[in-house]
Amino acid sequence: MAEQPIEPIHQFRITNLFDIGTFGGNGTEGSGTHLAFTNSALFMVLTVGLILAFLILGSNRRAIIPGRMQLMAEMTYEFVANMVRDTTGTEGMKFFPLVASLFLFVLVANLFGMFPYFFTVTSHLIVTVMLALIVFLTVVIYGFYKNGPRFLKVFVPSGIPWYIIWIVVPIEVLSFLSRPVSHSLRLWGNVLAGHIVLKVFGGMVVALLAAGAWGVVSILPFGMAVAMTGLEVLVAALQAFVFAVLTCVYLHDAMHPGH
Amino acid sequence: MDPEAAKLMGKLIGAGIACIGMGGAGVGVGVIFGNYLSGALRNPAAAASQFSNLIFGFAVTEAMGIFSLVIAFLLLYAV
Amino acid sequence: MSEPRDDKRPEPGSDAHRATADLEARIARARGQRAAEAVPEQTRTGDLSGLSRGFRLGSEFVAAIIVGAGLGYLVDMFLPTRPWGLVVLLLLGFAAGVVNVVRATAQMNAATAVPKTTPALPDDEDD
Repeated sequence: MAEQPIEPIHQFRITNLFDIGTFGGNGTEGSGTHLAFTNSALFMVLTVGLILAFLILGSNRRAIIPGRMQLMAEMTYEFVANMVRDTTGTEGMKFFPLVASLFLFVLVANLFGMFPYFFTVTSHLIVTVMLALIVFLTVVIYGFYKNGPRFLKVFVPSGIPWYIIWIVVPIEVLSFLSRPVSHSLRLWGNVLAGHIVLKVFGGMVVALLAAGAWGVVSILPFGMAVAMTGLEVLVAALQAFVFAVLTCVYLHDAMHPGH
Repeated sequence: MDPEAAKLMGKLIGAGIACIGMGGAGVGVGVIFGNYLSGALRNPAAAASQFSNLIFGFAVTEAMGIFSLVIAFLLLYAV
Repeated sequence: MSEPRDDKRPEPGSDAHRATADLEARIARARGQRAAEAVPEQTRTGDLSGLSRGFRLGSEFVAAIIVGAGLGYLVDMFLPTRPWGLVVLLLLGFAAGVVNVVRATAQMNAATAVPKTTPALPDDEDD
């Protein structure tokens, strides 16, 4: 082939839109913390902006008979509120703002990623790890704040004889520590894999079209790309939902240690 | 060849060979879940009662794969 | 669950007043219903598609092993226990992974299981 095939991971490259400056360090090359406003940051701001605009537009009239925007905002609220209530009980509603923020952020960021030429914020591990760490630290800090040392009961399943505890407790500790890892890896892996697959099929279309008579075959990867796009929209919404539900499940453990 | 490089080469090749064992575990896990699924389709009523056996078989099979992973890690980081 | 932000009471007799006259009673009723709804002790997860179920179980399993191996490596770095920290913690991580998988599956099954209270179809003599 004459030209380079399209690189499927090029879409995840981070570029500096404008530099803010370098902090700390001794002035030599590569020292200190370099801050810049990147395309990732831009899309995070856009995500938050869209959520804010949606919720503010939806709630500024507060009509008794809701209009379309208000209905959508209320349905979003009800959806998240029911999810929190179902998993953590009514007392978990104090975490509603956290869960709703996480859910809407991940959902809108994932769906933004489905637009061509848009950057997908959640396709970077550092972003999802930070989101998962927020949940993890909330669970740990709130668990100790609410239950005191009794929070450690989360590592001791009820109803096991004392002589197995020495094996079970390390396993439970590892299981607890693995939560933020699986929480973040799953979101990141799904989004990353989906976008790479989309790009690979898209690249196949281009490559086949460039190959003359074989261009007829390009309808096959094109159909795959269309189908994958539909699937990816589903995955984007589903992963946001799963992320929020698992947040609720973990918060439930913080409130009721010992299962 | 200098002995350090030979040792590194042996480590890396050994770790790679050890990972072949995980392929066997993959086959075993596939067999277990496949057979569970076909059994569950024949007799769905009994499927739920055999779930703990399924997990037990999965754990034992996967443990073999994990052993080879341990060997690979040992070769890479602890030798 | 907070006070309504619009705290001007509508004129008695106006349309808005009629619409909101029994609002407090309705809110109280809705709250009562919510409290009456038995909150299940078992946490439940919504229905997931097969793909995300698989991804969920896989990542739960792999994450525990990664954490075990990472912790073991760290332990070996700071304590003179080389290679045993890695071996023991990796195996513990594997056990934790299996525990994670069992727990996640139990959660999913609890979510999709048919509630016991629904009247079953007339059954054969098989139970």
